[in-house]
Amino acid sequence: MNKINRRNFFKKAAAIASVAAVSTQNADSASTNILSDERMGVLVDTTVCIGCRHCEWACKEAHNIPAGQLDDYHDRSVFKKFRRPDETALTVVNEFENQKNKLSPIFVKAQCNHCDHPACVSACIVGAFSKFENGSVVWDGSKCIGCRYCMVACPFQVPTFEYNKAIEPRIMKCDFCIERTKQGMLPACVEICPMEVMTYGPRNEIIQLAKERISLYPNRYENYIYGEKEVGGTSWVYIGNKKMWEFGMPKLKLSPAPGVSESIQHGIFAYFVPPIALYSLLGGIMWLTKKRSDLEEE
Amino acid sequence: MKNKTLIFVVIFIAVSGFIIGQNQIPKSKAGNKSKEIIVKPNDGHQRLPIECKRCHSCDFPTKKNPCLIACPRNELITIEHKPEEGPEYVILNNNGKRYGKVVFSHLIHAQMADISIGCDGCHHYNIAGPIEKCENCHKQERKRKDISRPDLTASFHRQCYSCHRDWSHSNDCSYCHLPIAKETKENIQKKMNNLIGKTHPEYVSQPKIIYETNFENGRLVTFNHDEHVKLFGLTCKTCHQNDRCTKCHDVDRTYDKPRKHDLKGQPFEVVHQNCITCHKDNSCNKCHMNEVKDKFDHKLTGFDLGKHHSKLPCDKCHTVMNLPNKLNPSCISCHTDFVTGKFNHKRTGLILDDTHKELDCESCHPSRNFAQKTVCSDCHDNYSYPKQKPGKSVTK
Repeated sequence: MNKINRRNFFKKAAAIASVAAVSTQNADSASTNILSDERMGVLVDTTVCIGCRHCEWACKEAHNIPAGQLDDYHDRSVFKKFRRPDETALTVVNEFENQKNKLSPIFVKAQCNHCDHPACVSACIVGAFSKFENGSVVWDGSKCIGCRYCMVACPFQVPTFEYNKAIEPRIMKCDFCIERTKQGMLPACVEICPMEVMTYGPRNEIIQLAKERISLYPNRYENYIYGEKEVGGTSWVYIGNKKMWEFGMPKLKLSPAPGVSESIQHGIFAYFVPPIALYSLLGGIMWLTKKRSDLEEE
Repeated sequence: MKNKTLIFVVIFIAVSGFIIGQNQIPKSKAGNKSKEIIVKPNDGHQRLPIECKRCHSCDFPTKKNPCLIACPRNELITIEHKPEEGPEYVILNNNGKRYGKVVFSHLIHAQMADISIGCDGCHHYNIAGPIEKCENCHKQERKRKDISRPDLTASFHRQCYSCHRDWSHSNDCSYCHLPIAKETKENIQKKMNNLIGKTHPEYVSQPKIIYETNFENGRLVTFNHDEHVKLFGLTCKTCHQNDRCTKCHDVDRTYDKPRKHDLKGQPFEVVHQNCITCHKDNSCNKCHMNEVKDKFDHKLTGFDLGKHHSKLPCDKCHTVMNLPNKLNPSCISCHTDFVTGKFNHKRTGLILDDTHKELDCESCHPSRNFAQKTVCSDCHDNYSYPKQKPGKSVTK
C-alpha cells in the first residue's frame, strides 16, 4: 500500500513538471512582439571607420557619463591596448592591423549588439532586462538586484557593473539610445559618425544593404555578415574585409544563446512548479511518516 | 418561412456579387487605358556603354522618378573636361554645427587626380553632361528612408579619407575645417585668396624607365614613357589609376616605407596589368630583352616617316590606337588628292613650268610612288633631278 502510494505520487509530480516544461518551451521571454519586421538594426561597415572615436564621446554625452572635450578623443595612444566596453564607456573602438595597407589600419567599434534572443534577458532572474519591439535590449534599474548573471550570460561580454559605487551601482551597457530613438532621433553614435560607419534602419533592410555592398565590392569585403545569424541574430551587424572574429569579436554558434537552458529553467519555474513540488513532497513525506507512526502505534 | 429566408439569402448574395463585380470592372478598364509613357534618354545617356536596367529598376525612368539602383561606378566614366575648367576652390560644410566651413582646393586636387585616379575618382556615377551635384544623390539628412547611399557628410569624408588616411601629417578635423570660433568672413577669404592662382606643380616624368626583371629570356624591360604619352596619346589615368597619393607625397616618411618591388611574387596579371590591356597579343620578347631597347623607330616598320610625317600624331593614320594595323605604304592610299590636275605642285616647293604642268604624275614619278626618286631619263638624256628642275624652286 505504501509503495503504490509513493510511486503514484512521484508519477504525478513528474507528469506535472514535464507538462509545464513542454508548454513553456516556446514561450518568449517578453510578451511584446520583439521580433517584429519593423525592429531596427545597425550595419557597421568596418572598412570605412577611421578611428576618430567621436562615437565614444557622443555615447557618453547621451548617457550622462563624463565625456570631456571632443578634440581630446583624437589621441591615438588608447589603441595600444585592446579595450572592451565598460561602465565608463558603453562603446569603444579598437585598432587592428591591415595587412593590405599598413597605413590604413582597421577600426572596429564594439557595444551591445542587441540580440534577437538575448541571453541577458533570459538569465536575469528578476526580469530587469527586456527586449523591445524596436530591437533594443534595455536594463531596468528598479528591478535589478545586482546578481550580475547578465554579465556571465552575455556571449559578447557586454554588460558591466559599477563596482566603484557603494550605493546604487548600475549595470551599464548600450541601450540603443532608447530615449533618443523614442523622440525620433538617431542613436548618438550613428548621428555623430563623420564617415557614417553605422547605417541605422529596419533590420531586414540593413541585412539587404550589407548583401548589396558585398556583392558590389567583392574585393573590399569578406562575404560574411557577422550578427546576421550569430546566436540567433543580432540587431547590430558587421561587415569588413575579414571575418569579425579576426577583429576581437567572439566566434559564436548560430543557435540562440539562451536555447536549451532557458526552456528547462523557464519550464521548472513556470506555474509555481517548484514551490508546489516542494510542498507536496514535504506534505507527502509528512503524510507517509504520520501513517507509518500510526501503524506502529497500532 | 424557411424558404423565404433561403430566397432572401440567395438574392442578397447575387446582388452583392453584382456590386463587387461592377466595382472591379472599371478598375481593370482603367488599367488597360493607361498609356505607356516613353521617355527618350538624352544624348549623354545614349553614349553610355551600359544597359538601362543596370542603373534603373523600372522600365520607364523619368526625371521625377529615376528609380535608380546602385550601379557599378567604373562603367559610367563620363567626365570629359580638363581640371583647369573646374573651379579653383569649393566651399563645403556650410551648415556645420561642431566644425566650420572647408575651403577645398579643388583645382590642385583635380590636377593631382588627372595624373592618378581621374575626375571620376571623386565624381563617380556622373552620367554624361555637366557635373552632378553631390547632394543630388547623397542626402543631407542622416536619418532618411533610402539608406542605400551614404549621406552627404559621410560621402565627403569618405572621399577625403580614401587618400588622406595614408597621410602621415595631421589628419585632425582642423586640417580641413575652420574651427567654429574662427569661422569669420576674413578667415574664409584668407583661405580662398591662398588658393587663387595656385596650381599643382607640373608632373615631370622620366622619358625612359628600365625595369630589371627575373625573366630568363630577357631580363630588361625598357618602358619608353614619353612615347606612350606623347606619341601614343595615353592619358596618365590609363596606367596610374590605382596609384596612391603616397607614391609622390610623403615619400620621406620614416615609418612603413612602401616596398620598392611591390610586384614581387604577384600573379602575372597583376605584374603586367598596365601593359597587357594594349599588348595582349604580343610575345614576351616584345618587351623583355637582354639589352636596353632604343626608342621606337618607325623606319623598322618599313615606312620611314621622313621629314613629312614625323610630326604627325599616330592616330592621324592609325585610327585604332591599340593595333599596329598595317597600312598601305603607298602615298596615294592616304593622299587621295595626289592626282593630275588636282594637286598643286607648289606645295612641294617647286612650281612646274608650263610644259611639265600638262604631264601625268607617272611621267616623272613611276607608279605614282612619290617617295622614290624622280625620273627624268624617260624623256631627257643625261638629265637628273635635282640637278635639272622641271620648273622653279620656291620656298614653301
